[in-house]
Amino acid sequence: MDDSVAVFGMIAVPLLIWAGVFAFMLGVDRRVRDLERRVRETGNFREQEERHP
Amino acid sequence: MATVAKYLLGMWIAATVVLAYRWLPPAEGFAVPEAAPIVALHLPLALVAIIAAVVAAAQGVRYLTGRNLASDARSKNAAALAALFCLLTTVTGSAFARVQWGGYWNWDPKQTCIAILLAVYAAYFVLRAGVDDPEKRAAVSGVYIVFAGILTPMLGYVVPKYLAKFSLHPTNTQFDSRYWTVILFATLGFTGLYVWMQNLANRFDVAGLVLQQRLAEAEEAPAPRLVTMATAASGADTEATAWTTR
Repeated sequence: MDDSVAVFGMIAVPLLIWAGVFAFMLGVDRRVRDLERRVRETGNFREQEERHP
Repeated sequence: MATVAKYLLGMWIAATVVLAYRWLPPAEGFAVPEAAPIVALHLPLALVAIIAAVVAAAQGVRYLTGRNLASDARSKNAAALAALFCLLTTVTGSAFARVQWGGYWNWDPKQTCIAILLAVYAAYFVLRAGVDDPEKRAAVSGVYIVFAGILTPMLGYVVPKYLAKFSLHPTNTQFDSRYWTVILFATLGFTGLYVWMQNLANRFDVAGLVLQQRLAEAEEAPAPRLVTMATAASGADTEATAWTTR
């Protein structure tokens, strides 16, 4: 019983750390895509402004 | 990176961790052979740190030859990731040292070399923080990171090998062939993670550079439409001047 708990802990702790890192990375990925979209949209807005003042 | 690739990477690394702790047998030659599976994660982290250091140096050279600030941003991001993977190597190594040698830090040649390496990368960021002009900062740190890139494999591999007789690291370890399979899996997984991180940091910096450039353009030449609108609304030249200087 004690051994199985130790083995579970040995696998569960690194997996939980990785799950946290992975979730963080997905969050950062989404934020960067949002930022890029906003930069693109403001760029288009500026181009439209210049074309039709 | 495609969404499917991200989730595949997530499962790949999770599977590697499970393989390391469930599939690998104890390795002979260590004081506590049962704790050896952590080596299958420790070694790939060190390899990825060296890959990141080489990328940082290559981008540093690219900046010095092309003078493009995007190359400097890529070099800085790779250096930060090299430092991060170095730190993770140190943490996993220290955990293993605690089990094998009874202490987290033993001033073993490999531990000492990695401490020097961490200091080298910390100094890089101190250097960057000390120079305000972006062009000058990129040039100075470009030269520095090339030397750091040469130093990384030296301190990570060559010097510890030369000082092996003073090392606590055993030289007579017998790794089962399964260890090399998991080390290969982990190296591929961590390299994928590094590529993802590097890609995100680069895209973030490029978006920042585009915004900075637009801001500089807007400050240099205010939009003529705003001047026209302000002049029409107030009929006063002073109001138009206020718009243009804003």
